[in-house]
Amino acid sequence: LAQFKNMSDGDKLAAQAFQPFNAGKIFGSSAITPGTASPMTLTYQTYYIDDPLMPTIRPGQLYTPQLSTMMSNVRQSSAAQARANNSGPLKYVNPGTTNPVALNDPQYVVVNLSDLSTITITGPTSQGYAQAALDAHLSANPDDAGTMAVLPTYEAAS
Amino acid sequence: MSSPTPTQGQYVFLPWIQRGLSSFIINPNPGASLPTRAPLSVQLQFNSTTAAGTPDTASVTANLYGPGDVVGFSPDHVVRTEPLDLTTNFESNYFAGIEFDQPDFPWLFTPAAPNQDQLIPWVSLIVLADDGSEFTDSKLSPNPLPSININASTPLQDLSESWNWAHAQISGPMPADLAGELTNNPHIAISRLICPRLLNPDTAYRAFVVPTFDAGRNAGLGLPNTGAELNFAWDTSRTGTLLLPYYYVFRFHTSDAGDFESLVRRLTPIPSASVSGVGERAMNITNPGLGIPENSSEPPVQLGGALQTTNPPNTAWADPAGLQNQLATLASSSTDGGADPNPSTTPDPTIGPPLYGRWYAGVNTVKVGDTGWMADENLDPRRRVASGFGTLVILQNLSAFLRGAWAQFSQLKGVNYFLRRCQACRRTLQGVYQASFTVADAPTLLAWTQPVQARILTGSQTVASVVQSSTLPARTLSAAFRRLLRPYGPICQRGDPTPPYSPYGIVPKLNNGTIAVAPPSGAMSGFGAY
Repeated sequence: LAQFKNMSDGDKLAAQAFQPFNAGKIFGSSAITPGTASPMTLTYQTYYIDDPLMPTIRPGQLYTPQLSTMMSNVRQSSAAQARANNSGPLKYVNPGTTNPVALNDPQYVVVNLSDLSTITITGPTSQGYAQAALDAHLSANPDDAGTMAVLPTYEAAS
Repeated sequence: MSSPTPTQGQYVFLPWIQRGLSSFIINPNPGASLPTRAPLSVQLQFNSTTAAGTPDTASVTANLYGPGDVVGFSPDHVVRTEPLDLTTNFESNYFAGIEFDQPDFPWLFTPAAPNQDQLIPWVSLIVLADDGSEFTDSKLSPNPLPSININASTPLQDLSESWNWAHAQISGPMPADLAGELTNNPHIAISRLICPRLLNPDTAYRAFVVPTFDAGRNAGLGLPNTGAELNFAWDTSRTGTLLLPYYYVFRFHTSDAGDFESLVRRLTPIPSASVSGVGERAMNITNPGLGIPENSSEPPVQLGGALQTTNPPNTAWADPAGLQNQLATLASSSTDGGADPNPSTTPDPTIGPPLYGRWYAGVNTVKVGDTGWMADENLDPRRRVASGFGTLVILQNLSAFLRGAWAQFSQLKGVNYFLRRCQACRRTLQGVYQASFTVADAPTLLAWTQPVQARILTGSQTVASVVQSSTLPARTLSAAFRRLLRPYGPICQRGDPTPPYSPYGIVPKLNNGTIAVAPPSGAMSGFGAY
């Protein structure tokens, strides 16, 4: 199923040769659902290897590492060294960091042609959606024709 | 009331974790039959509206990948096996297990919602005696997974209870924001599969990660999945040989008797005072080189190592010969000759021992008595040894480190390509601007720029708005008027070609009222027609 739009010769000349439109839809979720948590304090039991010729040393108390000590050790654990997270480019990237450089599509807004101020018909969006929002507005408010246009956000007055 | 943050180390065990869209699966298991893929009803809402004014919607059923869609997983996801592969003396009173880096790995493709704290994992760990009595390697070529033939009499665990033998583990207290914590610190969480088989002493075993469901078994053997309902890959009442693919395998051998404790008890402690050289190595610094005078009376310094006794030796160094001062002078004297336009008069650059960490710390000199790590790192011969080894590691892996660093800017190439195209466009337009626009007079420029005047601000208004509010007739700058005044048009060809000739000289005259536009011809208002 496709949608078409009737364009006048003026619209065709004024429109850009190519416009990016959404093709398909991606959906997902970042939710994490766990079962019932069962905490357990980490303890180490100390054994003394007795010298048969010496008096017996009484076993000491259980050793419970501090949380900070344990978390420091976890940073060296097998999970922290997992190859899936430490091979290739991921070896040098801290988890959770995003690429510091990106090339994004420009965002478009509807502006007033007298002073390039943004009109809140729609938020920054793709050119196609901004133009559709402007067309819908002009069909409902024909007096605004010729006073508004779709421009990239970097051309609108801040 | 929220519980206080614990100060003692702790683990948190979770019976299951589901992440992403799996959290929205609604059919619970155990307790209900399972589809091969978990269906999710997805509704899409459009910007358009119906005749009744409600938004247009469309619904579709999306199926999540199930165990029948998996034909293997990367061994990189296995972070540890218990015991390690090819262990020869595993304690027979322990269970074998395997750990994965993803905390939701065992339930990743389970097409079911949990029934309270019970959720069947899509993979299971089985351990079989590796002496030919319980299984044989299949003669089938991997298609796509390798497979084994399990004898009819070989006991396997009851898969209806397999939820017991999988769990997730979080190091530290349970995070309030589990999703955020797993994003920033993924190493705190793992998942684990355990095989509930009691092992015999002095026996060779092989442990296999196998599919729990028959759909996974079929996919692993290259067989079609035709059933709509999911069943277990085996049941305890089976009577025939079971052909089973496996995703991962490791081997081990149990010890004849005893475990780690018994082995430790066989160790004989030795007082550290009775052994010398443990955790230290004497380093001769009588002849450091680099022009520093030899001093045969300089005692050796004790170089520490990774292995330390409970009573480490005193490794303090008094530097009786003032070696640190000489090292500081040498290490701080290195200069890069810089630009050397006249080699005959510019002194040669000085090359001394490296000043470790100079670029990171941003300093070029160091002297005895400086606080901070730079002085410690560069003026103690023992620390310089470690720094030298570190430098070697960097040099040996320089390409990999640089490649990794640049990989963090993976989109930089695309950005630079786009930037170069923009620069080429700018340079081209600059040529047009210089050739045409800089030599044009103001009225001509005003006419030429009419198409973009609505996009150029002059003060708080666009140029188009200023023109519109002026006395200049709007059509003076229109496309039709520009066409009339084109250089080789009918009007210009009749005009005076002597420079400076501007066809748009009419614009300022219209603006200041020197000339006026004639009204449309026809009947005037208020007069009758004759």
